[in-house]
Amino acid sequence: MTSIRTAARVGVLALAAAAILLTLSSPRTISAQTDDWSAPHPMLLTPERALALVRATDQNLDYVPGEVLVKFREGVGADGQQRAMTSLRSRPAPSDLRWVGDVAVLRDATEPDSTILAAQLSEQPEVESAHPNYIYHTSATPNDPGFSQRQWNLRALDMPRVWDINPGANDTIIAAVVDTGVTQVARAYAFQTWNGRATQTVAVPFAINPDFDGSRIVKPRDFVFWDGPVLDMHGHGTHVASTIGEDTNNSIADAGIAYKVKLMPVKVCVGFWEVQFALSASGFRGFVPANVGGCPESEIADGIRYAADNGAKVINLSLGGPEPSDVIRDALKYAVDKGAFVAIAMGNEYGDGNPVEYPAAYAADIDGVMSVGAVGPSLTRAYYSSTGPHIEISAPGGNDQEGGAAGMIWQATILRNDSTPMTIIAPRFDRYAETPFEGTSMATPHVVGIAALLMSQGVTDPAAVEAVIKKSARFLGEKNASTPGRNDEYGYGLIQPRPALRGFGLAK
Amino acid sequence: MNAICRTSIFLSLFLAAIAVSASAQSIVSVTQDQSTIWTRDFESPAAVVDAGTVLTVVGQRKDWYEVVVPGSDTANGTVTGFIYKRLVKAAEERTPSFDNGWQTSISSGSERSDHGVGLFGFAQFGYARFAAQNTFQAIFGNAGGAFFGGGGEVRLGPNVFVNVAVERFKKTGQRVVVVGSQVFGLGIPDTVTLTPIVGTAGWRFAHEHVTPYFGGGIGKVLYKEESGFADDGENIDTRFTRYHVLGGIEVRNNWVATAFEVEYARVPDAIGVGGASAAFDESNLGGIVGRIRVLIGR
Repeated sequence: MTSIRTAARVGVLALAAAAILLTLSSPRTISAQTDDWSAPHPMLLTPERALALVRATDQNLDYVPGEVLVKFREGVGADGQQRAMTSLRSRPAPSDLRWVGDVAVLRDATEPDSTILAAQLSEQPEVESAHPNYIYHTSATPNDPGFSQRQWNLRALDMPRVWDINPGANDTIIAAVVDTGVTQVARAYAFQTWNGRATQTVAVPFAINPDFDGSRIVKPRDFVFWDGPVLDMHGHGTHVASTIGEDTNNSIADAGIAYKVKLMPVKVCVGFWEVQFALSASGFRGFVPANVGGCPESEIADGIRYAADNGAKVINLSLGGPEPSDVIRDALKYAVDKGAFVAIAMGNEYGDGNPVEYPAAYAADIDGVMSVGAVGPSLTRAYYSSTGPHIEISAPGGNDQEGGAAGMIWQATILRNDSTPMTIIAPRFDRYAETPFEGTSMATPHVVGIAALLMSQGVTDPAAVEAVIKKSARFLGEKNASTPGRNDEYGYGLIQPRPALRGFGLAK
Repeated sequence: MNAICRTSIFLSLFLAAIAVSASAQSIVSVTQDQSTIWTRDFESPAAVVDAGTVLTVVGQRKDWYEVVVPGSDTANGTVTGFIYKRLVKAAEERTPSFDNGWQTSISSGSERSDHGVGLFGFAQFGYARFAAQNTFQAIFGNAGGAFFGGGGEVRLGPNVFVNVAVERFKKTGQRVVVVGSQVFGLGIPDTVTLTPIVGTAGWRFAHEHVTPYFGGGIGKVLYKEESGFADDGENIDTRFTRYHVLGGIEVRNNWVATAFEVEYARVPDAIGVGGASAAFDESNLGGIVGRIRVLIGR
């Protein structure tokens, strides 16, 4: 609590004053100060973990402090695990471990520096590998300017004629969005938050995106916030899901690509509001940093495995980070083995040194998993879109440098002005609007949507889906003699759903 | 359609020219004295002729030639009768003379037994096993397909034949995705029409009832492929050159014959540039055809 950076607080104080006024006038305020608040569902985001996320943001750490992922050597049983963990100061027991596949998540409250934990464990003969539980981030840059031309992206992909061939896939296909969530309920929850002066309980209303038929949301699961209904308090997951399958031809908002599929929201990422609520409920006084949160590596792996185990045929991962993750790589292989195709955002770090991002970097080595770069309305690479030898395909992701908001990707998501961190005290997540985002996060669901169409058309093998998408792509950029048909800027080129869905005749 | 017409006309003219050039009646020479020419009803002798007598053949029936009975020319025409084939041998075709109209000269040593010209029409049914097996299997679920058609045949003497045939294969399958050895049907209709128009020349080993034969030829295959959700230019309507060899046997009964033949056809480089055929690296649109042909004529 005390480690929150003072500088961050200074910036917050001015906002807090205004927030107090808003809070006091809010009709949804339940009480100004409560001590008897209890969560309606068991919290997964414990105060300790929420604080760890704050500390990570505060100290610019790319991992969850005090958490480490451990892979024991094959054949090591509980005794061996116990012996290995005696090297740690807290002496945790094997029963304290949470398993994600064959990797254990270990939380050690006594040592916040996960790199030390990992180093200590790595030295043990029973341990094959250990590393901090890294935090990945969603790969989008939201922006809320006025309307302009929308959904150039779907026109660029010739979607009207694609829908002639396959009108939105069908409800046998489940598309999982492993992200910040897609709200599955229409109701209000009471949460505790900080109003700049005191902790107070506020009623926070949620609603299902009016451009999602609620019956299309199946098997939602929250791995990171609480053991309750999935709620999106950020908007990223909803935006991504809208690109995949926003209801279409209903005269509401925008269109989605595979608008008949079932959507499986898998929440693995938290942001400001989840952390604020969790910490305020524990007595924390103050605002958490506006950019707090992320997607812990362990939860991402959990989410991928859950989606695959529960029938998802396509999985969207619009997130990434600079640290490799064996546990996520193994989860990706697991999902493909279960028959799920996975698309992963390349990352938006081209202007920041263009580092290799994970898990996108694993895509090139796993048939059935594709890494996705972004193009703007000119169908050239968006300025932010990361490049590298692991990029496989490109899709519209938006580019505000090409016409401002008109060059971004417009989809329905929660109205962001209703939940601006530290400006709004009692947020609401029950209003939706067509909103422009850009990023490889936005490009990725285009590929997932097309993959869903292909799956419903009969191409049921993830590796085959990848092969078809690559083969039907329109080559962009410079030719590279050493890698015919692809380059490091666009991969195999711009996704082309119509030729992909028409497939082959006998001679043409 | 223009291509079909042009090819048909060309082949028809070709056959007609062959038929006209070979349309002169045949003549034979009697090899034994006291050979009998029977009346058409085989009730009584129409004439008895000696060795060296030249006869004009106007037809044949099984083991018999139908010939003009010598000295039967009248104002009402000629009288014909039948002479046993083994009693005559081939003679040269007639040539004009100065004194008695048509005169014959005897061929020297030729064993040709028949210079008659036969004209036949036929209908045929074939089942092809396509060379592009993987491609056809992917699109249609079957590497084979049926052809129906017909044509005309000209026979020059007992051994040489030339024919023209047109047949058609039409089948609707589905467009597919091919990844390695995996094929995924997309449910989009894909209709392929093959129309081979071919000419064949060959040799018959004439026997009384069962006649083996072989031949070879060339032609065109009109190829049409139409699929669902296609734009202009995405369907195909083109033609390719086709080569073939064949062999079979013919079983004859008077005016009707039934032939059973096997044909090997090649249509090189017709496919394999795009589509499933490219994925399977198959470029030959030909294959092996088993065929039944019913011929009518004499």
